[in-house]
Formats: sequence, structure tokens, C-alpha cells
Amino acid sequence: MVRNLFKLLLPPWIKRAMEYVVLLKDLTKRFGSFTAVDRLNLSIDRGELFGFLGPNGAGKTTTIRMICGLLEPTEGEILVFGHRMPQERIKVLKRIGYMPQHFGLYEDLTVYENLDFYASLYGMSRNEKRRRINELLDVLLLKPYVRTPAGKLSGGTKKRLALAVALIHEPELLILDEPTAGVDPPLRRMFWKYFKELNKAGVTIIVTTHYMDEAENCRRLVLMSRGKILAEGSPLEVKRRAFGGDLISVRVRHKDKHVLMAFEEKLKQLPGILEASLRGLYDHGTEYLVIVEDASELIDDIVRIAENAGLEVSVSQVQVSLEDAFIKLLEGEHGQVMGDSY
Amino acid sequence: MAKLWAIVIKEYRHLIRDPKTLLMIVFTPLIVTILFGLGYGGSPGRVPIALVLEDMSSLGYRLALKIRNVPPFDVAYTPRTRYEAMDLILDGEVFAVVIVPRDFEEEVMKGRGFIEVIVDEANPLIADLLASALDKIAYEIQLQVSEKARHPVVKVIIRTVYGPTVSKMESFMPLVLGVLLHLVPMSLISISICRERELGTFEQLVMTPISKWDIIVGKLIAYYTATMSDLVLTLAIAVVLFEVRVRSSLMDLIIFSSAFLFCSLSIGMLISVLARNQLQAQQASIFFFIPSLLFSGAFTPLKMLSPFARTMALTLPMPYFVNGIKALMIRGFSLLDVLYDLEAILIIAMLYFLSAIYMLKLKL
Repeated sequence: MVRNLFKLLLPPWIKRAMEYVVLLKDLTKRFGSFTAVDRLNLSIDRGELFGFLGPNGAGKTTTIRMICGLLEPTEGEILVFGHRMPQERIKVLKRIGYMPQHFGLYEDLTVYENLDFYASLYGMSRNEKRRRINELLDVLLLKPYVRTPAGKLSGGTKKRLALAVALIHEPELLILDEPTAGVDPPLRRMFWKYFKELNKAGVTIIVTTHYMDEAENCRRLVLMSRGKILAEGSPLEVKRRAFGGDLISVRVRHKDKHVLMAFEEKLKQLPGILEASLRGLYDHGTEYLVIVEDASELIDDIVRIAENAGLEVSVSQVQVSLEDAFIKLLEGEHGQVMGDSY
Repeated sequence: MAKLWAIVIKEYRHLIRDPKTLLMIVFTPLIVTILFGLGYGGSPGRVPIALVLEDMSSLGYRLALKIRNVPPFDVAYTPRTRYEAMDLILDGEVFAVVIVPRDFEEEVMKGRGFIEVIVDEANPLIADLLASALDKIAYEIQLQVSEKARHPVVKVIIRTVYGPTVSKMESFMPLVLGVLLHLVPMSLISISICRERELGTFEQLVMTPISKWDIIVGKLIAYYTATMSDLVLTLAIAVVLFEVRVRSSLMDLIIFSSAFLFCSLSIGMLISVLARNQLQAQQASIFFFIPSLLFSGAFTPLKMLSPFARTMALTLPMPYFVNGIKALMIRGFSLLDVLYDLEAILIIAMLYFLSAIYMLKLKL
């Protein structure tokens, strides 16, 4: 009752902030003259599987550490569960599970001792500890290593142990910094499957990676480069943004050049087509690369136009990878930089 | 409370599983105590001097005989001339030359007698010792002469307290304990936090809802109990091997040493909080240790230091500890008699302890 009354009195922007898990406002971090993170604005909702994508040195880890309250921002504001970081970090630590980029557990303690130690720090009772540790050992296939010192584990097993520690207190928000770096493909798949399961169970997950392929698993992501956000949205949206829309390849075949040119004119006039360009000639035919707002709506229209013109046609959507999109976006950025300086 | 306990157990595991720390905890007191014991526990060595006897009178001989029997000195050479003696001292063969000049007895009877001493001032301690020993001899000779002539005399009779004798090793025990209970705990704990920072374990640790008190107090408890064994070990070796007597109650000694141990650990903890890496921490703890050793009051009483050094010494815990241990072990006082020293140590300890907690930042 009192709490609800109190909520009513709060200014609207704070109320909005409380619905977000993470809210970044003009977040900037400078190390000397080097700007690692440059005026980042971002909000992450409850229940998201959110990715930070970018090459090494893009500022992902610095951002993550600031969200965790481990680094103090030079400028800007961070709200996690509505609490200011790092000033109020003690209030939210219990709700966050964190897996750092580098292995941060005690190498001279065994797998069980590490888990037990962290469980105790979260104030878990003896029975709770035993139940949760056994659960995690099972799920993450760590049972055979219970008595092995953490320092003697292989890279992939270390990652699994680190994940187990991050999850020991059943956090609402899981922050994973490069969880799959140096991990073999089968384990990577297992990790992502597990992340998705957790996400489905209601855990908000923030993950950084420089593997573009696995970023496709994120529901929403930001592409970062040199401390700035290049693009933001679902993987599909990011790709569309990079190329200006969906990519469709239209292959037509006809001997008469004029028929082809007429088709090209019609294609360009079709509503929803943003750009159509000749991609190449092959097998007496022609391939056009068409950029459209939404591929699913337009493929039928294109086929209809072609058939009306009496052309043999095959239309397919080009599968763009995030990597292509990222490179395209980077090129755009560099072009801009070049343009500015000349 | 459970969190604190978890830290303590974790620190024990680190200590036990790292052979280097274990070696340091066990072997440092072993080696230091045995070295001190061998160096100062047995019969002392003798310092060579030269004696030039130019006067062949009976008084001259009597004097020469007395000089030969002064404890730390050994008349290694008896050259015939003072010039030969000078060569000996310049060559470093002897530390001092005593010359009984020609016509010594006659001159004494006339009231103008003197003996000459040439000392190597490069060794001021020996010069002082010899001067006081010769003063005593001259005084004895004078007494004999005066008594014969029935002149009035004043005798000095020296009696000792806490005696009959305090062995060399016993007089060094405060220093030995001070060194061990200062350097070992301080340098051990000084790496404990910056090692976590260096290895990256700190990043994970501070993401848990743990308080600064938990981290610091937990580590202090673990290191305190571990280095307490240094006190036990040192005392055991000294008592068993070198026949050192503990004249106070053992409980008092342990309580007093505990306070000092807590102080050493707090200093080391502050160093660990401030240092950027392990190497820096080790260097800082040695840097801190040197003035503690020099101004401990074990070599020269504090009252003989310059005012500046004395003020500085009073901010260090070591002089209070050496003073207090001297009172307990050698004089057989009780804890109540060293309350001043105990309080001073505890105040200094709290200062460092609170600064360590204040300065620790739960960040990267």
C-alpha cells in the first residue's frame, strides 16, 4: 500500500525506468584520452535475450562491466532494475549473475569448493546449497569433475564451471561476457540451447560475442564498433538496416534484350521495391539483385510480373549473414568518416 | 556470519595448498630463531687487541694482567714498540692498542699517571666497550694505590635486578619475536587482495553481495590463526634448544603477541588494498619493515635516538612490542604492567585496520 503510494509520487521517467532491466543514458567511458564507450543509449526489457555484437575492442566488455557496477562511467547514467549503478549496486547484486570474460574462479579450489564458496556468499542455506549445486552439476555435465581443482580443467569445462557459478543463486538477469570464446562448436551449441531454455524460463540474458553466427540466436542485439552503436534491433532488422531492406535475387531468361529491359522498368516501378540492380549475366539469362522492404510480401508480385512478360523466372531470398551486415555497416561508417575528412 | 566463515575457509584452503606460503610460515621462524640462537646463544667470541708494555715496574705488570682478563678482549699481540702496534691496528689485525707508557709507576705516584689507548673508531661499539673496561681497571688500580696510602676512597658496587644473569639469547628474544611476528604476517597478507585482482578472481568475488568487512575480517582471521603458529614455533625452539626462560605467564605473552600480530596483519592488509600488484605489495611491506627494525629499540634504547627518529618510532608498533616483550619475558611482568604498550599497539592496529576497510573498493 505504502509502496504503491510511493510509486505514484515518482516522476514518470523513473517509473518507466523501473520496467526496464537495464537502461543506459549517454553512457560514456574514457580511459585517458581513449574513448572506450561513446554516448551509448540503450534499454533492455525484462525477458530479453540481448546481444552485444562487435569485434574485439568495440567496447562490449567495458559496457558490460559498467552495467555490473564494476567500472564507474565517465559520463552518463546506468539504471539496473531501476537502481543507479554503481552507487546502488549492493541492492541489485543478488539479482544478477555474472560470467566474466576471463576465468575468475579459484584455481586451487575444486569444482565443488568453488560452487560451495559462491553459494555461501549468496547466503544460501546448507540444504539449498546442496540441492542447487547438484542441479547445476547435472545440467552442465560437471559431475565427473567435482573433486578436480579448477585450474586443472580444460577450457570448455572451465567455461561450464564459470556459468554454473553465475547461475548458483538463480539470478533474474544473467550477464555473460564472451561465454563461448575458445569453446568448441558442440559445446557452443549446448550453451546456446541452455541460454534459450533459461530465457524461456524468464531469465533476462545479456550476452556479448564476436561470433556473428551465434548472435542470430539473440532476440535483439546491438552492433558495436569503436564504442558506438552501429545498428540496433532483431537480427532481421539489423540486416535490413544494413542493406536498406531484404535482399531478393531475381533470375530471368529471355533471348530478346528489349523484353528484359521492359521487365526491369516494371520491376523498378513495383511498390515496395527500394532498389533493383543488375547483378550479372549467366546462362543466357540475367540476375537482378532487388532490395525490398519485406521479402515475403513481394516475391509473389515479382513472379507475376515476370510471367506476364513471358519470362522464365526464379526468385529467391538471399540469406544474408549478420557478418555481411556488419561488414556493410562498417564500410558505411568508414565511408562516412572518409567523407568527413575530405 | 556465514559469508565471513566461507571466506575464512577459502583462505585456509589457499594457505594449505600453496607450498610457498606454508614454507614461509614454518621455515622462517625456524631458521631465524636457530640463527640467532647459534649466533648469540653460545659463548661469545673475543676481540683481538694489542698491548704495549713500556714500563717494567710491578704496577705495570699488574695492570697488564688485569687487561688480559677483561672478558670480550683478547690480547693477541704484545709488540715492543708503539710503532709496531700502530701497524697492527692499521692492518686491521687488532681493534685497539693499549699502551702502558715508560715510567708508569713513578708517574702514578707523582699523581700524573696515564695509560694510552688507540682505538679503531670504525668500530664505535668496541671503542666504547674498551674505554669502559679500561676505566674500570684504572679505577681499581687507583683504589688499590689510594687504600695503601690510606687516602679516603669511594667504592661503586653494582648489583643487578632480573638477574643473576640474562643470557644473550634471552635479551635478543624480543627482537627475534618482533621480526618474525612483523615481517612474516605482513608480507604474507600483503599479497592476498592484490593477488585476487591480478588473477581476475576479484571480478567474480565483488559481483556477490559481500561486504568489505567480510572480505577483510575473513582474511585477517585466517592469516591470524595461521601466523599464530609462528609465535608458538619460535618460543618452542628458543625454550627447547637455547634454554630461554619465559619469566611471565604464557597466557600474557600470547595475548600481548596477538595484539601485535593483529597490528602487523592490518598493516599488510592496507598495503594489499593499495598495491597494484603482488611485487609492489612485497616491496612495500619490506620498505615498511626496515624503519620498524632500525627503530625497534632493540639495538639502541629509544631514548638515545634523535628526536625526529624517536617521534617516528612512536608511530610504529614494533618499539612498543619490543618494550612490552622485554618486560614480560625478561622482567617477568604481567600484562597489567604493559597496558600502555598494549594500548598503543591496538590503537595503531585499529588505525590501519579501519583505513584498509575504508580504502578497499569493490570495483575493478
